Amino acid sequence: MNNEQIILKTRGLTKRFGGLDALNDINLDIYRGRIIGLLGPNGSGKSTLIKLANGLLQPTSGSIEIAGQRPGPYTKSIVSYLPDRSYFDDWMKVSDCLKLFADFYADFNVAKAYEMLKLLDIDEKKMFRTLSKGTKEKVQLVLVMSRQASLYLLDEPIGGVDPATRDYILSTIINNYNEEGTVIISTHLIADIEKVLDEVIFLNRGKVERYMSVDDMRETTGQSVDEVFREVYRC
Amino acid sequence: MEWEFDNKSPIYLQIVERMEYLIVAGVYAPGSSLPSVRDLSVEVGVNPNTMQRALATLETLGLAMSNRTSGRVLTDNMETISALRKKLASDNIAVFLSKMHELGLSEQEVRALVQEEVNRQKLEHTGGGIR
Amino acid sequence: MLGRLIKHELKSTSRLFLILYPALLVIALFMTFVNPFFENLSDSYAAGTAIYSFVTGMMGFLYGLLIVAIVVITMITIIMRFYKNVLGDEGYLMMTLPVTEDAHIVAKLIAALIWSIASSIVILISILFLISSSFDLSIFRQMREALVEASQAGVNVPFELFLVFAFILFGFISNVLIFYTAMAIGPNLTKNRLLGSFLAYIIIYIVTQILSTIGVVIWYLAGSVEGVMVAINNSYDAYSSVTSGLTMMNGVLITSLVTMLICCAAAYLITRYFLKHKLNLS
Repeated sequence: MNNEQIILKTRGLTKRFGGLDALNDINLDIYRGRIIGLLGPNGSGKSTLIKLANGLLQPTSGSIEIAGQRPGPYTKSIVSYLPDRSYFDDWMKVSDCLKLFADFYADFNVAKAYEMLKLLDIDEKKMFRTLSKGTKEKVQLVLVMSRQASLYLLDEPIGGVDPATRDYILSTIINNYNEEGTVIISTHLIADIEKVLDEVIFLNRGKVERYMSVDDMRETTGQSVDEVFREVYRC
Repeated sequence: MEWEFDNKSPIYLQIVERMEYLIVAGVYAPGSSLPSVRDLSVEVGVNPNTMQRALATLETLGLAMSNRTSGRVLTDNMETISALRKKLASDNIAVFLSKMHELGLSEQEVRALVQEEVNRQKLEHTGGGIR
Repeated sequence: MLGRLIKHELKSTSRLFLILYPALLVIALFMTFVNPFFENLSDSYAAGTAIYSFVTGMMGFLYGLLIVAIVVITMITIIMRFYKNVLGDEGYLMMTLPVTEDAHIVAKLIAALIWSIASSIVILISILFLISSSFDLSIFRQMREALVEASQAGVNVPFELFLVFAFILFGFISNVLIFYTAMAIGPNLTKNRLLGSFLAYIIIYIVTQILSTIGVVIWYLAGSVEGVMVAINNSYDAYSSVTSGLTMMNGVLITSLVTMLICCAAAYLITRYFLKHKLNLS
């Protein structure tokens, strides 16, 4: 496959905090059109890798490139990021949030976002602070997935939501799939999302321990990814 | 309704198996056209690439055809479907027989038990109760 | 992009101002037009006096309170906006927008300027309402005459006005930028962001005070010798003493201006560096 199809590339990527290596010499070639699980125990460096990819952190050494460019305004325009927290000002209305995305992201599909909100029965005139935690997460997910991005970074999208919401999130991810875009889902709840994933990356203590397709893992181990993960990272 | 999968084998293979059943059972009518990969993957609840791989496998097995204009269609070749039906039945029978063997039943006992169950189900089906 | 950022900034920070501005103007109007009414009341009825005192007292109190509120809230809004929007959870949204760090800083700075100017204008208008009855248009004429006299005396009035204006503007900008710099550096000093920001601010304040004192001393030493000489030579010339006094004042203004510009540049560059390379959202 040619290099045009590599959406995320890291070479010797290292990030140090104080005396600790959150990420150590990471080398990855991630292709477009995949749904990838970024799996690892707490403190393994998952969040750090995601923040490096969306430009919130700078590498200590090594490089990271999105569509061949270092993180900056251009890559931010093709990366759609869903953090594990509420990131809108409480006093904003849902419609304000949509306007913000429409203003700054050329690939934002307003009609699609409105449609999804309607399906979820979310009133766009409501202020963010009046929404329940689950609804806030849904709004943020709708906004992130209504963008036609090259790289989606979802940090713990299904942690702490009820099963119905979780199914909705996974179904939205599948529905939104396109061959030009890659979705990276960072999570520790593997069993729930395994059937949605193409590939998985096992991250531990700042190092990539495994990177393979789900099919390969099942074929070679006769176990699900979840089972393999539990075995490998048993306390 | 999303499908359930076990943890043993790749999901695309499990999809193929399930669909083979549905074809043989006639739930998917012969010659009917399949929904798009995207729609199917949403319905089943799996990664679109996985679904694509499963459908490609069905094509390899001759159970589906790719039509340039109208997407994928299931085979309407009744011979192919009969052959598949036979194969699936044989696989099930093989499993059944080995289980019976484990239980320590002889060939005659197995036949007798099978006939008993067939009769019992026939009765149930035609109304049961007092005849 | 910058325009959209500024629009977003103003929209997100407008909540309190949209309440306080009208409130102040209403009170001012009330005091201007309604108080005389009560005054008449007090002249006609004995009980009127009590009502008059109470109402005017209340209005006066509210007026003062609102002015303080507007001044304080303008300052707090400017600081809190940067803190929450860049270092808080909102940072996850803001710092992943496809805009440069420069755009972020400039947009917030411009919004800060706009609100400060708006607050000043609103307060000014309210004062004008209040003094409108005893207002004498002659004051403007007197001001104009003074300026004409000054330019006849050799004072370059436009230049002086420009200096004063620049002094105020860049004084404001450097104050705001120093807050931004402190907040950008803060999280890197201590685990507690707030504490770190305070610490950074104090350090920066001390450093700038030291530097500007040194600057003033140097200028003073350099200029005072010359100033004394000039004064001796021109001590009997009225106009010259004005201009030499002015030269001294200009010197101070210009030196301060230069210092502030350097300060602004340094603060801006440091802030940008820290936002780009040392951003550390929780």
